[in-house]
Amino acid sequence: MDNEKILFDNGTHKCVMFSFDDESHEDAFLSVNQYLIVQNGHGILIDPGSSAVFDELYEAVSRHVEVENIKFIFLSHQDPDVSGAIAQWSISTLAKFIMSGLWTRFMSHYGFMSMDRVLPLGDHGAKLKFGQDSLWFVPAHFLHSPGNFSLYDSCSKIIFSGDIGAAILNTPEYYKIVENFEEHKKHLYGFHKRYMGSNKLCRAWVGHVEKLAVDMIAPQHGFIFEKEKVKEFLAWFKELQCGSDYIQELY
Amino acid sequence: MDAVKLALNAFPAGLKKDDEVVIDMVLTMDKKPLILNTKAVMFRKSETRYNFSVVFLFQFAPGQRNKLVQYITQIQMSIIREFKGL
Ligand SMILES: [Fe+2]
Ligand SMILES: [Fe+2]
Repeated sequence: MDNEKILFDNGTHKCVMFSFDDESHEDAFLSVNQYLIVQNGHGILIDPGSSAVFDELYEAVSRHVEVENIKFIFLSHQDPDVSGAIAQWSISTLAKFIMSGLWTRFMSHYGFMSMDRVLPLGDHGAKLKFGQDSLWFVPAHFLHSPGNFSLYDSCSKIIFSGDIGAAILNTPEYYKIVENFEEHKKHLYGFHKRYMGSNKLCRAWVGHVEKLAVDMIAPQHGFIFEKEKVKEFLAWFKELQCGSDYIQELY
Repeated sequence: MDAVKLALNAFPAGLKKDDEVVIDMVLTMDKKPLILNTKAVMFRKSETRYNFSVVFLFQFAPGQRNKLVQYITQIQMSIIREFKGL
């Protein structure tokens, strides 16, 4: 499969999806996606992942943006498949790191030493303006991480949803896109049922997202949801029973 | 990333500021040799009682520069790991 796919490009604003995996664990089938937004030659890297993919991703990103021009690196949450290479990225770029304030103190365990380069997000998130457009860090707490954000890009109308929308399935030969939602549901269910906090939280996130014009949901694992599939996913997620809704199964 | 400082026991005869040279770096990354070479110009010479140090300026091709960043990142990470006991 190609390791990268342009999701949006209007000449000044571009969104790229990368799919680099830790090949020593390929049989685990939780394929990982990393994303890059390039706005007027400046980059925002999203969930760049673990040190196992650092070298390949660094090379790939540098084909789209001067690495010195990566302004921000957004980490949706603290997991190693999202933040594991934060120390490497801090050495090799000048970027600032945007993440939930809940996790900054834990980053030193990944070898990260540049706390002065962190922009910690409060629970309600934040907006970053560029021209007419903005990036909105949308609260997604307990879905699954207690301090968790999605990133909405109003120019491309893509929401980078982190682990929300993650699917466990084999990587296809071409573009990772959901063709048939009914069919895809079975790859979503197990992951979301166990990893997501509760239906109340799913509804809160969907409530926010429904107010936005969203053309695409781009999760950190699995496949992209486009157009109708966005609506189908939101409707499914809104009704999902998960996490503490199954408390009797857990305790 | 755009300069290297070399300590030399003897200073090559005739070498002066702005002279063009070719620099070959042989490093080790992932247990494999990482060979980088580039044209460079002499920028500055200083001398102590026992040796000379000379600074050369250069501009790597983007691919080579990336490799050098990755090399430095690996070295720094191993220092951090050792320091923090990770
Ligand atoms: Fe996660
Ligand atoms: Fe994940």
